[in-house]
Amino acid sequence: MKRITYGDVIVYTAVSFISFLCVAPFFYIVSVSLTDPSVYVPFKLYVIPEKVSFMSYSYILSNPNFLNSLKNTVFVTVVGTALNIVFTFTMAYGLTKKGMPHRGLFMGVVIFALLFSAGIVPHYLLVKSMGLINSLWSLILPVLTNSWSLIVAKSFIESLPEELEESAKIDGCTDIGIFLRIIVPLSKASIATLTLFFAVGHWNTYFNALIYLTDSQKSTLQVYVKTLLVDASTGGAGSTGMVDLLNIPSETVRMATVVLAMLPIMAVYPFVQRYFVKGVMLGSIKG
Amino acid sequence: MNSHIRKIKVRKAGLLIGLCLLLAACGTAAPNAADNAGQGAGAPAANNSGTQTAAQTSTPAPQEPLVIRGMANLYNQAPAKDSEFWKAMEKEFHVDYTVDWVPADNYQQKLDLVLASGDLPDLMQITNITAPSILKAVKAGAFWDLTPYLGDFSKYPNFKNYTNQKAWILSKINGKNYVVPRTRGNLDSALFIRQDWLDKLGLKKPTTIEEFAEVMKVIAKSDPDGNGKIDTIGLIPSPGYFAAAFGTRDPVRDANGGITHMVLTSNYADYVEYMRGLFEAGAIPKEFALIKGTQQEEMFMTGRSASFVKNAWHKYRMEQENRKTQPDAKVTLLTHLEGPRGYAHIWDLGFFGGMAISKKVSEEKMLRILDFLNATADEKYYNFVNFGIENVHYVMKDGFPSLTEEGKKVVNSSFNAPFIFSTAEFAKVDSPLAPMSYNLETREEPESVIIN
Amino acid sequence: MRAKAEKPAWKRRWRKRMRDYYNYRYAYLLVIPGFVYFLVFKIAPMWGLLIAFKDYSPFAGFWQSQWVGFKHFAEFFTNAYFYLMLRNTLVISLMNIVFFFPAPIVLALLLNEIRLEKFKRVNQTIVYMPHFLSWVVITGITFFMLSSDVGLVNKVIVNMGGEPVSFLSNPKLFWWVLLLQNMWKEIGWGTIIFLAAITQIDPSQYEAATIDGASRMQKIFRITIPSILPTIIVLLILRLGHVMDVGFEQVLLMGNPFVRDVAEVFDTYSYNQGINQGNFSTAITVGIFKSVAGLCMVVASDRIVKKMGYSGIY
Repeated sequence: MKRITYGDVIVYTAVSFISFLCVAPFFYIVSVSLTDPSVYVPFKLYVIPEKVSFMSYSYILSNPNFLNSLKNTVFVTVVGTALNIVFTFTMAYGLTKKGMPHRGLFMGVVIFALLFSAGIVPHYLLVKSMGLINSLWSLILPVLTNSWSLIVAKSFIESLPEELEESAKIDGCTDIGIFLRIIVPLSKASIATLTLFFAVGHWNTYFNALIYLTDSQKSTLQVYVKTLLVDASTGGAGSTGMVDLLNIPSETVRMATVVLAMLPIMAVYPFVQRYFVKGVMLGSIKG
Repeated sequence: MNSHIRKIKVRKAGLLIGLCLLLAACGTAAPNAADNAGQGAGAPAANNSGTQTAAQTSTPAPQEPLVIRGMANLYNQAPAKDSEFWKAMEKEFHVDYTVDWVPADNYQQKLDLVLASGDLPDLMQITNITAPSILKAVKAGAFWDLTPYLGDFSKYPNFKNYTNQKAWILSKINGKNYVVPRTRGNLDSALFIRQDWLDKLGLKKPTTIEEFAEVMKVIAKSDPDGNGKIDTIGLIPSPGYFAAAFGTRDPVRDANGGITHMVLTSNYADYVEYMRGLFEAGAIPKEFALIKGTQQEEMFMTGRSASFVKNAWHKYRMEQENRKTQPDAKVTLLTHLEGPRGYAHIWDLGFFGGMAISKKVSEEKMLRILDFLNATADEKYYNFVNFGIENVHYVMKDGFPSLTEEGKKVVNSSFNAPFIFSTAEFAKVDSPLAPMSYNLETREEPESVIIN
Repeated sequence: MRAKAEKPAWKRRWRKRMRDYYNYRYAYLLVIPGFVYFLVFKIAPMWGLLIAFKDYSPFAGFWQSQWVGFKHFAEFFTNAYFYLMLRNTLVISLMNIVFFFPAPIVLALLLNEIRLEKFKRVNQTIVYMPHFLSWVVITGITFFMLSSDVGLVNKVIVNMGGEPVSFLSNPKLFWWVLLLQNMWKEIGWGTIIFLAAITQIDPSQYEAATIDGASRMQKIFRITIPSILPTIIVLLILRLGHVMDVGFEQVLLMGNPFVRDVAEVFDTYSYNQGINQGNFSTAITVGIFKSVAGLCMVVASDRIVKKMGYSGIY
């Protein structure tokens, strides 16, 4: 039978405490988002909603722009992430070959790109010259991979035992064969990790969507969400005495947008967690 | 063997440098192309990728709708191109108007990038005409100089009759009109105060800033909201507004005849003294500088602070919000407190940025665009551009537009962003939520300012 | 060393080179697509770095803007606030590296020690939730908690008889507030990559250790940590490459007049110059400065790490 050791107590307490700290503000966020705007009072501490109302959510979801922007974001995220993984892992594996001529050049370029950035203007001009302005591909192609992910992926691949590669070579496998049949299956954890990072990155893209997309039909989720909040933050600095609704986007709507923007991507993690399995030879989990 | 290795290293380095130079050369060719496109003035606009409109012709036949590509500020949901309102607008003015809606927070950034790319839309909203990037762009010839075409406005009667004339003077850049100003009335900001608290504490409505200070100090020390705690805030300094009472809005000349920045004048120092007195008396919260715009507003709306400065039309909403927790709340405006060298009030400039026409469009097209802007500036279109289609989005109640259910869903303050429209004196005083009688009452308060 | 009289030396090298190309042909196949991406999207735009040497005006374009040599750099380094910004940037960044960097590692190790699978999964999910909040929201929450006028924490302190603490306006506490915010937001997300690294550890090592009678702590220190050390090192070096980056949005939002002296960093300066003053050139200048500093750190740390016997990032 399992004994509960002192170590266990410490571990469980510490983790619970940290979890509590992390989740506590979300009670406030969720309960405010579910509060009826007509009774909401700022600066009050809500743990459970005073009067439950889904008005804030329906305000956001009923707008046709919402579904549209969601569609766009999903497209960019799915396609973008897939391409990200392909480009990143192929190049990362190639770079692990220490004997490859000109490898120094390749690594040099990668590290240079890691540290130096030319700023918005040249990137904007480049995207424009490729005719990608107002195309969703402007959110995919310019970010096919990045130095940071490359180096991390390379590091993970290098930590795999060399003997596997060598024995495959002896069996007559080509580099590509090794890559597809050995490296990739063994890299499940790192592929899952980077998939998560890339997906979240695409999902949260705001600034690039803002500057590269001109058609509001093409906008992404984060841009759409921002439009709901701008009025509240700039205090409706519009020209004439206009007011949007009976209830101006107040804190309740703001919190609802936070929840909505988070939910989908958070739902992805449990699926990805499956790949965080211990070891190549999966044994039963020891107590 | 060492020299062998060194030679390889040298060769590698040389290769690397060569490659970089090659790429840099290729790269610099790119901005060249972009610049050339940007400098071409008067030539028909190149059909840039990404435009949603049909190819722009340089000489549209008079029967064809004028195709305009625009860019404007967005505060909330943009009206869709195929919405009722937009289609009606396009039909009425005979245009095909496509707007790139940019959230207000990032408008300046995108504007700068668009300028950098040289790919300007035909008609652009300029939010801040004093922004350095705008000034630089004007100098580089990005926009049409409209002054000679406007002339004496004989061809543009609506501009003359229905817009704030001062705005045309104040919006000049380097002495010329590059933008068509988006005009509005001069009445805008006001100081709100909780009248019910004044009554409760037996205080008179202050008319000078000294009286105001006394009132604030008393409020800070008492418990007007009856919650048992001395935690009510008097005010949160709104720079510019109160400072005006000390004469800071008058230009102060320095030794060379140039204008000293407001903050450096002795008038401003007096203002700071005044505020310090209030701070020490507890009327201003200790961490006032942390409390940003919306939070200030929220504090006033929830009965935590006694006064607040904002556009006058918010008065109705403030009252309603306060009534949620304190049913007797009443908000009045202190429109001009008298100070030693002026009044605490900001007499608005009379315009909110403007629209500029890209130099890349042909002269003929530019004139047609001016006509369009002039057309929408007619008084009769004011309600249309701001509230939508009559009887669909709003109905007239007591001579004032009131939003319908449909209107409440769709109409918002972004509607008028891409247009020039006539000026309504009380636009920033009336609240569209309130009944007209309330608005008329509210109008009386600032009206006294005009008389003064 | 036998001299080969028949073939000249260069021809021999050329043959070897060609053979290498052939041997590694698949490697090239794998690398080329990504490399093309880098050339097109990262290297080609680098001409933008030259903007730092010009007085760039957006509409006028690159060639029309005036060439000013090192003027912007000179202005930047002689700026009265340069040392102030340097100090603030370095302090915030180093505090981050010293305190924040190990935190996800510790949490990952803790999570790894949990036997109850469900408990582990639930906590893993909870703990990275803060990562998804924007700084705007977090600043709002921070204000809600720590404001000396309306903050929750201060209300508790006052109720217990104390004086309210000005967390947000006290310059001495500013850096700590920033650090705690960052830790709260990113600790959970940071564990992901370390947990992934831990899964690659061969379980049979642990089995063998148990048989040898190793204690829990010994297992952690002798197996787990050394196994993920390469990952830790790579991440550390990458982090050092961005030593001058301090979370721009966070500092911008948390800044206020009270703490200006400790909150002004290079990025906020650059932002003010670029956005508010339309001065792109200064922004790029600051960027180059930061990048060069980062480059030095990366090269130096990579060398140190290699000397210690580990593989660096190169």
